Amino acid sequence: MKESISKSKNGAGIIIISLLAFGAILSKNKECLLIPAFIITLIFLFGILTRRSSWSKPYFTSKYNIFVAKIRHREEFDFPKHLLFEKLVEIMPEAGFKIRKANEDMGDIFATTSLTWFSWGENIYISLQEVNGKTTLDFCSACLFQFSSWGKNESNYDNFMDEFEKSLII
Amino acid sequence: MPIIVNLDIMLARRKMSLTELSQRLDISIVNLSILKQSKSKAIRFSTLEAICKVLDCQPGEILEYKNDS
Repeated sequence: MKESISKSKNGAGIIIISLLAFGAILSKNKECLLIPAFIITLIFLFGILTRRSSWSKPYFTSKYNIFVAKIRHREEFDFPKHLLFEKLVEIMPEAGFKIRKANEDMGDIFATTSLTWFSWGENIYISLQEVNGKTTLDFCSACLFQFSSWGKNESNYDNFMDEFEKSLII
Repeated sequence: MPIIVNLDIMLARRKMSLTELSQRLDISIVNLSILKQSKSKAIRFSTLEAICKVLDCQPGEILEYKNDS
């Protein structure tokens, strides 16, 4: 199995928001505080409203979206695609994910996690592609509206892989 | 992997389908397919015992060691 990890770089987002906040605080006109607050609230509400829609995948997984902390992993499995798909659907609830949409033909699984003290909940996107009898799995865990996932994205992936490994003991 | 699972051979000998075995063992078809294709990491003694009981065979008929070299 090969593995590649990528984490979104949300430093730019933190800097932008910090500059806006400092600018607003230092400014004599306190009303300008409302503008960034309004924009942030709008983005947050947009995230909440579109969270469970499968069409919002490009928004949550985009590397240009600085408001969403996300991680991506790629694994290669020596499994046929349909078998891996069935197995993943079986283990997802045990890993703490709620499946919202699963399309076997496309090899896509969309799941969500529930709200916790550290996160508004994450969206989990899994896509499978079969090449030469081996299946490549792309895993993406994206927070709803956070610059940092406080380790939730990483723990989602760890839980997912732990459950998968455990499920191979029959 | 040098351990080969001969579940498909035993099923053919007993003229039993994977679905029927799955129902009799109460194990999902996905798990049995993984086992049959030797993709599993390990097999529990309880699973092996149940398979041997249903297929009326010995563990050695299900599992086989083949040296790769």
